[in-house]
Amino acid sequence: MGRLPTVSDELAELQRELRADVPPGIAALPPEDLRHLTSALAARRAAQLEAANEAIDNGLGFLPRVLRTVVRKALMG
Amino acid sequence: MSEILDARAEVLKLARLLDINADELSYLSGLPSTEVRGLRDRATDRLFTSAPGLASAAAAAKLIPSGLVATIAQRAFGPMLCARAAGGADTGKAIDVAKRLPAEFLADVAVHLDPRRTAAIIAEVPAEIVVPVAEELGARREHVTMGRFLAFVPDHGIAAAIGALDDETMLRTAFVLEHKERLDHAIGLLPPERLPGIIDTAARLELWSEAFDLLGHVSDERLGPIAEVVADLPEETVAALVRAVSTDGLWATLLPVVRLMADDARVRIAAMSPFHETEVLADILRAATSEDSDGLWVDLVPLVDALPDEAHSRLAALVTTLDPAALDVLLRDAVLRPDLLQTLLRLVDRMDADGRQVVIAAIDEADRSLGETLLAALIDPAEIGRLLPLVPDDVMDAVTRAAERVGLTAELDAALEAAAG
Repeated sequence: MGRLPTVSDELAELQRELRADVPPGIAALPPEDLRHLTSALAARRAAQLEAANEAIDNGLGFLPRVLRTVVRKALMG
Repeated sequence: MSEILDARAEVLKLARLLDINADELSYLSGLPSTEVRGLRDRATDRLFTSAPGLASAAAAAKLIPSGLVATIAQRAFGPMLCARAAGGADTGKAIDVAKRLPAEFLADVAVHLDPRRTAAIIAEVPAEIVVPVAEELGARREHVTMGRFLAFVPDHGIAAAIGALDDETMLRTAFVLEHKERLDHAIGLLPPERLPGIIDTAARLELWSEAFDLLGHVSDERLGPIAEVVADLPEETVAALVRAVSTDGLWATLLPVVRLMADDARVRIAAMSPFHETEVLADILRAATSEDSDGLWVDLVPLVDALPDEAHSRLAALVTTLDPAALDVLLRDAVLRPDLLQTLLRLVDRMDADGRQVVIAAIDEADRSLGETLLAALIDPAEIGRLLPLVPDDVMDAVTRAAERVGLTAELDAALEAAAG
């Protein structure tokens, strides 16, 4: 039989998403609230990443061809 | 700001960061604001570092003419991504681009900006940008956004923003500031001629919580000019102010203002009827004698001294109704300042013999520490000449008994003799 998820599991998941510990009062929240925070943050992060990639692609389209190559190179590091 | 409002503002800020409705975070509403703030700071750090392409794009902007960057910022990135990217931008370039963007767009960016990551840019933003953006944020009632910035804006920027914001916006923004420790300094940048308008606005819109929160964070030096403005308020405004202070239990904030008024101004305000109402006087006395009064008596003394006879007698009668614990707090505070002890003695002087029994009982029941401090205050060579004539005989008998209890009879006798001689 699989282990039931515990508060610690939900908390660990939130801390992984944040890449940081959370204040004690937040850590003591019920599992469903911790799950909600984790999914809200993950959704925001994913949306931001997608929007950023799209914006960078679109932004390049505004540049003259000669500048586009230089900037793309700079973006690639 | 009260803890409840503080916590509510933090939930709103977190909801905005996560782009969700604040109702979805209702389970955070019972937590202290510092907890939600801690979570928000961590979430901000995570979001601002999880799209590295944005930082590269911001750095690459240096290769592109500023006009073109401004176009791309508006048409491809939008305000939220610009705010995320700003931390990676060159300061000079960021300012040059900002000059080419409309205030509405910059205000949108400001809403999403993390001032901690863009402090270098914020420090360089010229007044020509600060003013229209502050106006726009003010018009949108974005007090919370502006409140996040103060600690990072240099004096010239604060002064420019102050000039752009109306009195109501200033009060509401000060209330939600994230770094209240900077408030005193910011008040110092406020032109003195703005003070009456701000106090008047607090009265007109009943923003007393905001006004008193502000006063609570201001040093005596800055409070002085504010006290003068309060003293000049019309009586009906003072009545509204006194009502608000009583309702919210804010005497610890108002009494220092009264203490800092010039003598004639204090007499003027103490002559106003709202301060003479029995309920108000009882309320003040309760605040000054509560366990957590924190020496409020010292702030109350100038007001008591300035009260007209009738109100003074009323207050003396109220002192006789204090319970022993409250009277003990009052005595302990009063005897710590021999130079202010005569205020209490003048109240005692107005009591009839029955009323004085309460004070006498308090002296009879004083512990060693209070007894010794009381004696030390009364026989203070600098004060004894002024204090002794104010001590009624029956109270003096209690003082003598206290001296016997704490072994200071010889000192008391010597001081009395010296005073008589």
